[in-house]
Amino acid sequence: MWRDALLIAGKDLKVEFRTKVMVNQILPFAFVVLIIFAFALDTSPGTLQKFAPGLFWLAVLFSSILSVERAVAIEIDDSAGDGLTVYGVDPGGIFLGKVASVFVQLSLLEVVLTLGVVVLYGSKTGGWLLMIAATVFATLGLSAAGVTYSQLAGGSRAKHTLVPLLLVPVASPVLLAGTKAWQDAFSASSSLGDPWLRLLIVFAVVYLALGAIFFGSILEA
Amino acid sequence: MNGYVEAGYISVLGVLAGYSALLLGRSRKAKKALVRVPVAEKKSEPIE
Amino acid sequence: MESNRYKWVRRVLGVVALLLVAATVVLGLWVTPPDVVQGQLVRLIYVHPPVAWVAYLAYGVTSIGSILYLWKRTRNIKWDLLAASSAEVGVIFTALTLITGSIWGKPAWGVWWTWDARLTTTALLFVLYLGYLALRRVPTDSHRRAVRSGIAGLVAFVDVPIVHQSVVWWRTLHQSATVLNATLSPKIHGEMAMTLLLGFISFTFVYAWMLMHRYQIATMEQRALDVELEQLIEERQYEPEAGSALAQ
Repeated sequence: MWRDALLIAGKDLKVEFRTKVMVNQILPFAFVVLIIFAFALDTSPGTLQKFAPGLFWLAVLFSSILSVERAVAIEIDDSAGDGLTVYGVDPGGIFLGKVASVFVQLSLLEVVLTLGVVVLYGSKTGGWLLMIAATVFATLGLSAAGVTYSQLAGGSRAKHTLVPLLLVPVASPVLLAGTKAWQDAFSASSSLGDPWLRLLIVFAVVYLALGAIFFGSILEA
Repeated sequence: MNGYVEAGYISVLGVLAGYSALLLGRSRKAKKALVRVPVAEKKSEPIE
Repeated sequence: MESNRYKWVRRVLGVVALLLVAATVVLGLWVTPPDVVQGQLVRLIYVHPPVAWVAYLAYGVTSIGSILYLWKRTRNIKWDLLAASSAEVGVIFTALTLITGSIWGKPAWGVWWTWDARLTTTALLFVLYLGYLALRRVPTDSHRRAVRSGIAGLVAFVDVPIVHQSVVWWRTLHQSATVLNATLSPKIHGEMAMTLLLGFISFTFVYAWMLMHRYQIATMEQRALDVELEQLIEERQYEPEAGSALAQ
């Protein structure tokens, strides 16, 4: 399973390296989201600075929808995924590989977006340990839930409208916990014992397990 | 009473009654769809 | 067709549910006294919590149905249809929970909506199961639909405690306790408690009736689909070209 996961992750990242969908399409989209948040709220630095963590995670959530849809679409177009099943690639491995690939891509996006909120919103940073730990687990959970739901809705013509509807309510705890963990990280009381970090870990573990268990049945069906 | 209580009861009873009516309607439609089948089957026989 | 016993059980359930609801309404609106603190507003308590309970009950049934279908040893399309039927009824009752909660909130708190933990969880739950129903509407064969929606139903249910915990923390870690706990638990006793209990029972009966009816529709639609499919296959076989091609 782990070897298959590495293979799939490598393959997906290679596809991304060649097509550059994340860099050329999703990243600019996330950037424009940061700009329109300023239109929606107010340009006074205090406001944007205060809400920077929440806006950051909203931008990540929106981008993750595009990213996971892409991760599943590359297998469904030309029925490439059927080939994987025929070759006997472990479904759990396919799932973990896809999650790893999405995780790497989203992490890249998050680094750029962090720079974005610092530069554009004048956001504080700090409490690096908590901030990074929270980001890692939030991204892991988001990728796992996203890949699962994207595959559930995959193949149907309705997928572009269905994935956001299915994923956003499920992933809402990640948005909430990610935002709060970042706020805590920036405040004086930053510590790895943060309850929000625990929630993010639980979410990531639960959805990784659910995805690994059920991915085979989804592919089979 | 005070308007709110009435609104609450009316919305609950109204929605439940509306959904029940919908169920009854759908049930009738589904039954019809099942009954029509034998007629269609007879039609297809002469082709054989 | 539908078995006679099933039909009779459903009819009796329907009549009992109707009578019980009528009794709840009469007791709730006219017989019970207004509350000392809340006045007339307390009458909403005879419908709001029962409706919310039914919503949770319905989602519980959906999860059980989903598990029973996903587990290969108990796999039967019936479980999937039961899960779907229960989810639809659940969505109706969740909507009613939100509506009655909002109607109660306006005079009690002065606003239609407050970011109370339970309210927020219920709102997310509503969307979660609307998504489940939307996934079911995607045209595909019944086995694939059953597996996909079964997983979605299960994943949604697992999400509920996580969502709830996050929202509870969101509202309590940085602020004082919720408004709802303080105000929607007036001391009730005597006939008020009896009416509330009756409310719970009567709406549970309504749920049972609706579930049976909705399930019946689902099986009939499923059967109609199967028959239609069989017919199409048969017609294909009797088509002259296909027949001659086979003969050659």
